[in-house]
Amino acid sequence: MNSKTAIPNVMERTIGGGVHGPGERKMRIRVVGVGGAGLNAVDHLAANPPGGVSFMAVNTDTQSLGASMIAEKLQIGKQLTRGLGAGGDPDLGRRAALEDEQELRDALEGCDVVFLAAGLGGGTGTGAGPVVAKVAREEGALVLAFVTLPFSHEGEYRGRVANDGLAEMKQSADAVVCIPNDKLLVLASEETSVLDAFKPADEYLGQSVRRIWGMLSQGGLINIDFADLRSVLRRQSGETLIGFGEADGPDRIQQVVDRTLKGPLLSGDDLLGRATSMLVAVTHGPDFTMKQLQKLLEEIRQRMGPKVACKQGIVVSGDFVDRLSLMVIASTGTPLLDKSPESAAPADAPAQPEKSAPAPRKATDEKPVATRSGGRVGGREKAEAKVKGAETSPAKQGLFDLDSSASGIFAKGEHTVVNGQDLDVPTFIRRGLVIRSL
Amino acid sequence: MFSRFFSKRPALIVGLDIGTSLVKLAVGERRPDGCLTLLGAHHVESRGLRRGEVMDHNQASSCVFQAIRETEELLNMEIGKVEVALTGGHIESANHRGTVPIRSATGQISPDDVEDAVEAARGGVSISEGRVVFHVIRQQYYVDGKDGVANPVGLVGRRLEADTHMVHGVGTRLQNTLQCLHSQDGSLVDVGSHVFSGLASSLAVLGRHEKEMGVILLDIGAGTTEYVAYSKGMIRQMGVLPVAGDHLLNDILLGLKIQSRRLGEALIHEHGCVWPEPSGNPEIKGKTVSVKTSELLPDRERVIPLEYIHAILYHRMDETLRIVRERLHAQGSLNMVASGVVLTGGVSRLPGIVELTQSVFGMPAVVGIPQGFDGIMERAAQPEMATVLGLLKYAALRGAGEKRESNGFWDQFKKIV
Repeated sequence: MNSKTAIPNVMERTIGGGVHGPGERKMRIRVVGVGGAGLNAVDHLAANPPGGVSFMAVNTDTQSLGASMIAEKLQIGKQLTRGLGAGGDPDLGRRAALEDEQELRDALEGCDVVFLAAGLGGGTGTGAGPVVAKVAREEGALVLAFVTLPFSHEGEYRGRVANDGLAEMKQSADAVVCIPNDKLLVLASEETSVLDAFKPADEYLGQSVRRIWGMLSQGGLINIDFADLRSVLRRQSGETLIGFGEADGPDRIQQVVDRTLKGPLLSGDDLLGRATSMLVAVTHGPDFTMKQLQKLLEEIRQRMGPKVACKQGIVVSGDFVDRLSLMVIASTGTPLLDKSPESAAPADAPAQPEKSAPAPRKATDEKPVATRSGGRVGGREKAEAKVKGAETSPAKQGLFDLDSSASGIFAKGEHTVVNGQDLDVPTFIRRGLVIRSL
Repeated sequence: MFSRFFSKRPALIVGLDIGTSLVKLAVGERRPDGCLTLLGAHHVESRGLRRGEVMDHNQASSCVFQAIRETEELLNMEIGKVEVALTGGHIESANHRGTVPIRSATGQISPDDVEDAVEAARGGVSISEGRVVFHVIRQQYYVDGKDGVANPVGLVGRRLEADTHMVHGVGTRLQNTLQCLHSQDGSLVDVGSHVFSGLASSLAVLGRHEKEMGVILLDIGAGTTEYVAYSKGMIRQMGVLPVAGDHLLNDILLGLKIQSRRLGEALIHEHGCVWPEPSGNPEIKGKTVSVKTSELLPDRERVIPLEYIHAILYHRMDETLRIVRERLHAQGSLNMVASGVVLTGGVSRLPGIVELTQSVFGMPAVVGIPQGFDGIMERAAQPEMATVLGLLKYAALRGAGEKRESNGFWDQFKKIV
C-alpha cells in the first residue's frame, strides 16, 4: 500500500461560546495512533468518533495500516523497513519515523491538541511514538500521549524496552497517561475474550478524548479553556492521570469522586498525592447547591497533595438534574520555567496560582530549616506545607497545627530522608491530609 | 553467666533479638533429626534503642541482662552464649561474583579453589571506610560459565565463579548492639553468631518452595522494616528501612495530639487499622471513638472520628510499603517474585496490613508463622517471633554445616567472618 501524505483535513470548530469564552479561537484536535497497538486503539475510537476530531494512523507495517479503518494513513520508514514493520526494535522504529519526519510535520501542522496512542514494548510504538510526539509539539500542539505497558508475562525484555520508551515519551510529550496492561488482566474475568480484554483501555482513551473535547468546546459558568489545559499539562517529565465519572441520586457526590479517582485503570497509585497541577471539571444540574459543590471540592482536595495548583471549571446543564459528572486531570511534572512564546496567549486568572506556587522540592535539596517552634530541625517539606496551606486555604483555619511535627518521637537525632522526604515527619502531613482541630 | 557453657545440654541454642520495643530471648534444642524444639521464650520491654540501634548503652544493656537473667530463672539454666540479631538503617547488601582459574593439573576443583573464588568475590566489594561485611552468603557456582552448580568440589573445569551475597554495615553501629552483652558490672555473655535480622526472620518463616518461586519477606517491627527478596532459592536483595511501628505511633501522637506513648499504643492496639483507602470506606464513615489523651488528666476523653485514626495509619504504612517496593523494583527483584509477600514483626498484626500489602505490591500477601519448630508451639507460632526463632535456625544450620562440610543448600548460609 502506498502511504499518502496527510492532508490537513482537520475539522475546525469554534469554541468559547460560553460566558467566559476567549473569543473566536479555532480548535484543531487530532488523534494519532502509532504502531500496531496504537492503531487498534484509535480504530476503536474512530468506529464511533466524537465530533470535531480527526484521526490518523502511523505505522511501519503496511499490512496493519491496510487493515485499519482510519482514512488518513502514514507509512513511515518505507526505505528502512520496506513495509514489514519494525520487528520489535525500537531503534528501527525511531529511525523509520525520522526518515519521514517531514511528512509527519506536514500532517501535524496547525493542530492545537494531539492525542497520541501507542503501545510500548515493541518497535514502532516505542521508537516512533516519541518522535511523533516531539514533532507534534514542535509544530505547536499540546501533546497528550496514551501509552500501554506490556503484560508482565511478555517478559523482562519487553518491560525494559517499554520503560525506556516511557521515559522518552515523557520527555517528548506534554502529558503521558500510562496504562499497564497488567491492570487489564485484573479487570478480565475467566470468560473475557482477548479482544474484549483490551476494551477498557480503548474505552478509556475514547472517553478521555471525548470529554476533553467536550470540556474545551463547551462554555461554562466557570470556563476551562485551552490555555488552562495547557498550563496544567505542559510540564516536564511528569505522569498524568485522567479520571472521569458520573453518578446520580442523593449520594452522588461521594460516588462521583470514587468513580473518578478510583477507576480500575487508575487504582493502586498515589498519583494524586504527588500531583503538582490539577484540573477539575464539574458538570452539575441547576439543582446543585453551593454547599454540595463545596463538599465535592473538599472531597477532591482531601486526596490531593498540599502543593497542587488547581484549576476548577463548572458547567451547569439542564440535563444534569440529580446527576453529576466529574473529570480530573492531574500531572506530577515540574512546571516549565521558560514559557514558550505561544503559551503567553490568554494569560488570565487561571494561570496565576501556578506561578505563585513555590517551586517543587528537588530530591537533592535536603536542607533542614528551623521552624517557627524555635530552632528544632524539621523538614523543608513542613515549612512549605505551612506556607502553602496559608496561601491556598484561608478557610482551613483551626486545622492541625503543623508546628507540633517538630516534636514527637523522632524530633531529636538524625532524620531519615528518602527521596528528599523527611520520613520522620508524619506521612499524613506530607501528603496534605486534613485533620481537623480536635 | 561468665562464659560458662551449658554442662548437660550441649545442643542448646539461645537467640537474642534486641528490638526497639522488646528484647526477646528464645531457647531451643537441636535434635539429632535436625528439628528444633523450642524450650522457652521470654521478653522484656527494651529501653535505649531507636530505629533498631542502641542509643543508650546502659539502658539497653540492663534490659538485655534483665531478659537473660529472667530467662535463666524461668528455665533453670545458665546462658553463656547467645546468637544475636543485627539491624539498622545503615545495613546494605549486594551480589558479587568472584572468578578464579583452576590450577590443578587435572582441572579438578578442590575446596581451596572454592574458598579462593568466594574470597575473590569478597575482594571485589568496594565499601566505604568504616563499613564491615558481616555476611558472605554463597549462592551458586559456575564452572566454565555453566550456572546452577550447587557444589563444584570434584568437578573438572578451567574456571570457577562464585556468586555471593554480601551484607555490610557501619562497624561501630553494629558493635554497639553486640556491646550490650558487656554489662557495666562486668557481666559478659559470649556472642555465638551475629545475624542480620531480616535474614533470621526469613529463615524462620519461608519455605523452600517459596524461595524457589521467589518471595519477599517484610519484617515490620517497632523501629525498622527489614526486607529480603528471594528468587530461585537464593537471596537477591536485603535491606533495612528505619521506618516502622514507632512511626505509626509518632503520627498518631502528633496527629491526634495524644500526650503519652502508652495511650497512643493502646489506641493503635484497640482501633488501629490500615485498610486501603480509608476515606472511601463506608463502614467507618461517621463513626467515632472515645479516647484518653493524657495520663495527667485521666478522666478527660476526646471523641475522635475513626476515619482519622485509619487515615493517619494508612498513609504511613502505604508510604513505607511503597518505599520498600520501589527499592526492590529498582534492583529488579520485584519481577523475580512469583509467590508473594510474607509479613512478620509486630506490625504484621495490624488489621488491614495484608490487604494493604497486596494492593501496594500487586501480589498475594500473608502473615508469616515460624515453621519447623516443636515444643511450646503457642509461643513459636507468632509472626513477631520470626527473628529470634530464625536465630536458632541459623545457629542450628551453621552447626550442622560445620559437621558436614559443603552441605548443599544450607551451605550457602555458611558464614565467613
